[in-house]
Amino acid sequence: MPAVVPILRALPAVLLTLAFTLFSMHSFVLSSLVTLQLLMILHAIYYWTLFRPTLFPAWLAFLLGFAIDIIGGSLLGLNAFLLVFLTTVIARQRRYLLSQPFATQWAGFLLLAIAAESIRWIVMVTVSMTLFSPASALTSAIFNAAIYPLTSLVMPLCLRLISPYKTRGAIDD
Amino acid sequence: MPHNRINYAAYTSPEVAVHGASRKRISTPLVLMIAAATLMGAHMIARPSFDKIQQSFIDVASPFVSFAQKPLNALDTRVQEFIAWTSIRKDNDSLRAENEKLKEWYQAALMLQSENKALRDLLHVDRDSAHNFITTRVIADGSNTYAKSLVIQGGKDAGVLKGHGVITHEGLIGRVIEAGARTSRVLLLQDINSRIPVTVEGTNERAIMAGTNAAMPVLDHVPADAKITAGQRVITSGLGGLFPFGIPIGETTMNGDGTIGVKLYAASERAQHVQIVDYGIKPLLADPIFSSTAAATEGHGSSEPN
Repeated sequence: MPAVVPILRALPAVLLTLAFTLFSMHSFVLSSLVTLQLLMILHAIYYWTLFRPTLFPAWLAFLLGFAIDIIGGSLLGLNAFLLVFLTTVIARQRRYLLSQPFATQWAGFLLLAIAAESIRWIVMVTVSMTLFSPASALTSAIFNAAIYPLTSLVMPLCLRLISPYKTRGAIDD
Repeated sequence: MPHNRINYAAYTSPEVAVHGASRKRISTPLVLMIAAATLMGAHMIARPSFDKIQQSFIDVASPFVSFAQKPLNALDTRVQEFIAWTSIRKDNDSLRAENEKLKEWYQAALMLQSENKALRDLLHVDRDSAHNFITTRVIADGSNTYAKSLVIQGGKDAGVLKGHGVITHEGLIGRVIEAGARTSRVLLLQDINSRIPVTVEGTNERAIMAGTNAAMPVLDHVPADAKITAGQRVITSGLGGLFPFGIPIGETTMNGDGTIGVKLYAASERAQHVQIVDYGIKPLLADPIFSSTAAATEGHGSSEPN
């Protein structure tokens, strides 16, 4: 039984990450011009890479990106590449971001979301040789960043379940 | 008890924490990024083969995807309801006007139906043979900012083949572009890669309806002297052999940039059930796989595939 307890504690974090992955495959039609596709998996990547990087290695980002590519029917490798790249970028800025207040971390996430959508947009424009309107990509990035405060309320609860004796994610530093 | 110690150093150093030892730090993400980039390149070069692999994965994952999409679809419905609610007064007015028009059309349709029957009886016209069709569920919305597609239940096991038309009760929504064993992917009319030969009713002008990734496709290759006005019905022309003549698609609208848009009758983003129709014609542009297997489809179906 004791071996089961850590798995049960990690379960909410795993389920939340899976839910974010599924959400990343779905799109919402807002208007005739704007389709919202929130890359929610970025929330998990950002939070876990900042606060518990050992729980979110690059190969996991690759696998989740690959799953989004496969089921979402997009160009194979696009989201896998994107998520690994962004995981690396966040890891490099981790020390700086951890020492910053929440507002700066949020701004960091906004930049990340814009970078993610910009890369996807550039790749898709190049691959399909079609100049897509950037409106949907930009709107998706802004909406994605707008809900970061909500997810950042939930994810610390998962972290506390995994490490019950630590109250802050940043304790690792 | 060294095995119980927490390696705080591993957490403290971001580089080591994420990528382990310094040698691995560069290699793991870099290798993964190269693998992903190679995958992208391979998919672009050998698209049909990779699309088949992709569809095989969806076949395997379809029960899970179908289950997991339910809450998302419910959320999507709420979002659509909210958007509709914001324009409820305007919609109400236009629906009243449309209802009045439809009442007039209903009377005209009854008259024409009776006249049509009388003329058919008089001339002993053979009725068109019924098309084969399968009614099935949409299990995933594969649309995103750059592509518009649906994943539907029912694949080769149920007789679904690449090229079959997909309709709702309102009209055409797209065609099957990849058929797996148990699931298929439908390219929607809005997708930027979608091209359908159409005719504008009333003028008999032919054009190609091209997807734009926005809600309304546009008409391409319209003759310069074409007298197309807003509100005219757009139907399939039957050219190219992809679809038979006369499947309703939408109505013309005049865009601000001078192009002619098509307001589609069928709302594919809200479609829960669709019909896959085999019109029994071999498309001229079919690939060898489709051509060799298309003739194998037999029998009428109306059940939902398992």
